[in-house]
Amino acid sequence: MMLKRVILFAVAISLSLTTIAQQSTSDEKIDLRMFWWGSSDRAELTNEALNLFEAKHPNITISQETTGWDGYWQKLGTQVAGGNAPDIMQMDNGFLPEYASRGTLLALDPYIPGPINLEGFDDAIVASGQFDDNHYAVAMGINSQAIIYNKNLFQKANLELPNRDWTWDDFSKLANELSESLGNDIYGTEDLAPAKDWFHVFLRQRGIAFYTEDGTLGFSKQDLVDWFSMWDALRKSGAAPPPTVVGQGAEDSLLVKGRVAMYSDWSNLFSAYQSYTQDVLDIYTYPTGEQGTGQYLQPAVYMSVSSQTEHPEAAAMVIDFLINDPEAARILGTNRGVPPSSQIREQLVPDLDPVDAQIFGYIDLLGEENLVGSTPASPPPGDGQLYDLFTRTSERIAFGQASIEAAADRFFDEAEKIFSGS
Amino acid sequence: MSFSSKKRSRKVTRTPRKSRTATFWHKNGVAYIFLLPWLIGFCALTLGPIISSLYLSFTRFDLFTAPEWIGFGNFIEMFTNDIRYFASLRVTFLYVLISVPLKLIFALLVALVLHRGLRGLALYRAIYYLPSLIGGSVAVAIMWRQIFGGEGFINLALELIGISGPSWISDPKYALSTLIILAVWQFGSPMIIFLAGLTQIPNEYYDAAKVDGAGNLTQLFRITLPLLTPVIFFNLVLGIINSFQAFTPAFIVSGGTGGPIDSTLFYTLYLYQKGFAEFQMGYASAMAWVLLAIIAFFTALTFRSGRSWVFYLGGK
Repeated sequence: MMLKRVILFAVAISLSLTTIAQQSTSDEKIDLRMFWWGSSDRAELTNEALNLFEAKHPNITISQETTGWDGYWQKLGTQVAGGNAPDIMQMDNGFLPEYASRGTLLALDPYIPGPINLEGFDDAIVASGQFDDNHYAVAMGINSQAIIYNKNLFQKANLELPNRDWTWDDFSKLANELSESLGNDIYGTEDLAPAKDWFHVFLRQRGIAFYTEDGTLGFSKQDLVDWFSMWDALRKSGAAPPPTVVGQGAEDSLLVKGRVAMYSDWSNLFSAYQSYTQDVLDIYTYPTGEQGTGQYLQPAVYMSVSSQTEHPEAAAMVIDFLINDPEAARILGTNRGVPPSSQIREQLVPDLDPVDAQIFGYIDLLGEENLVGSTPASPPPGDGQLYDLFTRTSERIAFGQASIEAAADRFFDEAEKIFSGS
Repeated sequence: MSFSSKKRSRKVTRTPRKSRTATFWHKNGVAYIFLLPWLIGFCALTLGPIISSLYLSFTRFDLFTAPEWIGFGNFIEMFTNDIRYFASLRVTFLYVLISVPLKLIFALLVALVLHRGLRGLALYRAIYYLPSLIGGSVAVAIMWRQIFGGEGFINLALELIGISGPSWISDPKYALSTLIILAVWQFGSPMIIFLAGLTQIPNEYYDAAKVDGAGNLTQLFRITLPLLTPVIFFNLVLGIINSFQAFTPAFIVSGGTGGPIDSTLFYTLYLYQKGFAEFQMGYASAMAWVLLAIIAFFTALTFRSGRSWVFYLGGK
């Protein structure tokens, strides 16, 4: 009798448990991990946007990891190799081929157009997230290269930027004049020599592509020497700071500390710089070469999904939310670039805050006045490693450890190793 | 012939092999069971990875795809074709050769002073020991980077006496020195060991020496130092082994680059870059084994030399 009671009780409990279980499998609890790089403002905004997503989808929780650009790729590489890849990871143009070619990213084609809606995206922007004809990365925002300058310092020196077809000679002249009038501790321009990205702009102005179609370096030693010589002259004349005067990241940059009047960075980072200083900053196009500004529009960052994810559908939903949801777009602003969807851009324009409006205006201007060229193809694997090499080469010259010619030779030697080794 | 006439109840037993082993386990089994957790940990977490790293050093392995055997390729590349490798060796050797002796000399000097007996000895000991507890940490390295930066504390202090200092960590002439200073700052731990060694020297020697008219310096060089040689030796070996493996300070202070211009490119930092930034894990594994050989060589060298200058009380 007692045994019968126990059995009946057990059956009743298990039946009720299965009905409860059946109810919850339809809103299956999903845990996603998302990893991106950026400074603290990006972390705050992304957190806010993701909280909004979680509110709209109570069964999905997203745990967030973030770090600076320095160290992001090592950390991501280790996680992916260890089988511990985040479900959603922020991706960059220079590393996309590396990751896509090794099968670590999920091909998103089955999830386009649902849930990832790419309507209203520029074709070139969509194409840039492809590798080998599959979609591996979705553009989060559009940016372009920009000169960021300190209006307060310009006023103090009583100088103005020339018109948009200014040349590098004009730039050098202006930088020297700024340095002279602003005094000892302030320089006309930050030393842009160590940055491979700005060298790329310089190359395009000469009609040269960074990479040829078969993935080898497309520029010559002379191009490199010209670039470094120009900056060497600026350093020697005091228009650019010596190599020991450097900043660290946006918050600690020379621009924000008021030590340089002109700077360069990607347009989407303009809001970060402005947020860290009381001075009024503004955004301008690059000095031109024979072929114009050399600038192009590109996705500032992408989002990719790990090929090892257990919830591809949910991850795709998050990505779609970040680019297509109007409220999310309002929260994220231009932090990852100008929203790539034209509908979203239209919706945002009336309520933009002044800084975001400046960035929108800049990107629109580039398109309207035809100041940008075509977006280059994805670089070959190994491109991401060139950043450090380029910086080292520039430092060698700046510290007087090698002549410009010798440093350029060594650059090509070490670059060859990077491309053959990877 | 039968031996039955010598019927004894005593059996002649030869111990069969089997039960000797059984006795062994019977006696020591419990000990091994207690050791088992550590043994498993050692095999799985230390020995296993060491063996696979040895295997990987003969392969090309980019972390995502399967390793590909290339024989001695990595080692040949390392010794014949890699400029940065020799830069990293140079930087590391400089670091070891300067920071280890400096650190030990400092530790010894302070230990000698403290050994005289001061009021608040325990307090001083604690203060000097503290840096070596926290010194290897990321937080301290970040702080060090700030202190020696362009607008850091050191330069602020120098301004007070009218010197305008450069950004120490951004100048290839000085960057390595900041790391050496960081190492020497952690002299507390060898100092404690020296203090212990000092207290073990019997006072009779000093008394006898004073009676013979020996001054302080003579006592130092004829009694203290010779009797301290085992401790010096110990600290030296440990110091060499540890400083070859230094990583955290270089990584943090240079922002992971080993810069400026590879002036702080420690061997382990270059290894990290090769493995995790350039996805050449096979090469990085090969570097690790070469480092092991280098450290082993210098340790053996120290032991060899120790035979001539280390004096053990009580004979050897």
